[in-house]
Amino acid sequence: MSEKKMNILDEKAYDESMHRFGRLTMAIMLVLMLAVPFEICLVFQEAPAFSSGYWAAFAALMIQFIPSGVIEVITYAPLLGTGGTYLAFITGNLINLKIPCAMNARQLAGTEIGTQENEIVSTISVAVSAIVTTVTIAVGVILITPLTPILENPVLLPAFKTVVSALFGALGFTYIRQYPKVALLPCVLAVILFFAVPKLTNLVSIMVVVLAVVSMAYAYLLYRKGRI
Amino acid sequence: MSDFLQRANSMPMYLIAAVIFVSVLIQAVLFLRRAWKRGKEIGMDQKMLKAVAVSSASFSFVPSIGILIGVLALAPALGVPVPWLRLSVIGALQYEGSTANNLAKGMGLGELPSSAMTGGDLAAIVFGMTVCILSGVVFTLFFFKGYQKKITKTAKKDPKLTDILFCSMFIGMISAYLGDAVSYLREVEISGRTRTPNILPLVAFVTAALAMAFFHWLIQKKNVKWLDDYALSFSMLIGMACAVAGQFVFPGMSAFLS
Repeated sequence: MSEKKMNILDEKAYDESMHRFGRLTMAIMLVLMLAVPFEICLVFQEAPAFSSGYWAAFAALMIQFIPSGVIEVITYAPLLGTGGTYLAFITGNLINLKIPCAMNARQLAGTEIGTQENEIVSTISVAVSAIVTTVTIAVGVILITPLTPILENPVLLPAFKTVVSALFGALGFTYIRQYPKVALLPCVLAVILFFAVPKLTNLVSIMVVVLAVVSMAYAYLLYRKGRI
Repeated sequence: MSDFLQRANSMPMYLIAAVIFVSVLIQAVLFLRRAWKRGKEIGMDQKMLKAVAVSSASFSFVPSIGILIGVLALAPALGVPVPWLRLSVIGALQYEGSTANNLAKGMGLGELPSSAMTGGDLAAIVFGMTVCILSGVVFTLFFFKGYQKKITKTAKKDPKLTDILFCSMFIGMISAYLGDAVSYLREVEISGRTRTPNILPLVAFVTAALAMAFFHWLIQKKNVKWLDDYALSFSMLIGMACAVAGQFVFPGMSAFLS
């Protein structure tokens, strides 16, 4: 068997094992998470206060979040790869952490999305990101008393309120520089739309998907015309 | 501290959160080990993998502090362990607070923190916070494998187009956040409250981009290679620092909704 063929076979086996491992760990985490409310009942020795008002609010939230969860997987999974997706969807904070982290890693390593190299780079970046975040939060919780006055200092408030803007500004330069022709349309469109209809700020998670689709369609057009 | 908060912050509650914390950590370490081993097997440059790990770590630290602030914000209502464990798993900063509040309102507790809160209320709220965001996990668990196979198959047909399409998808996401920063320039009603014009998110966006451009120039033209691993985190910090400075330059355009 040629070496290339061996590698392809290995790649399939690796991918299969990553899916198995991802599903297994995800299922374990799911059980652990669902057990928490019942553990709380044990600690308080009280039954959960499910009332009709509660279920009404619960249903409204479900209607809102079921589609967005599914859309998130469809949109973000290809950017995160197999290992990265299982891990990122358990550890959360996708848009403000895991996806930028994986895209930064891709840029740094110079890998292409869809390749095995990018799969590995992406899994490493998401895993390291998850470790750093969970440890930082845990250390922060232990040091909560001395940290609270610093973190809640009003002078520093703008810094913490602008984390996501700064993050996308910095990564924006990197990606817009790479594909300036593609970036022109979604950026101009976003600036005009959000300035004209500032209420869109309430719908930013939906606008992310809308502009991603616009941007992809435009890029496809440019590619087919041989412009990029 | 109320009796409720005392129990919500008791040792058994911390233990519940610690179990989740340790499980997430073990899972991440196992994924890291597998990917690293595979990278070695197919002959990827170890130095490059290390650079990816260092850059991801340095980048993740700053947004993690933002998440920690989310824990602080929810602590008066739910105690420390509950937001800690929720924000260590699936939860996202924007989601947890609003979900807890919506459920509390439905239960007749009013705005959080509520003095009428009981352990049963807390259990019900945590149940809702957990279940309402599960659709992504359930979808990943059952349908991701098939979906991923289709994507990989399509990607192999034209790798260059695939990379361009996914990069442009990310560019679309970036443009949405540029737009969001621009929306802050206008006055807007959010859940019945007025958000006055604020220039700081745009200041952070633009200065972080300029900082990144400067670092890029240093790395490429001046050969300051070590900066590569830290350029993103430094640029973010510069953007955030400029937002802090901006409140003194534009005192009338710097108010955030709490």
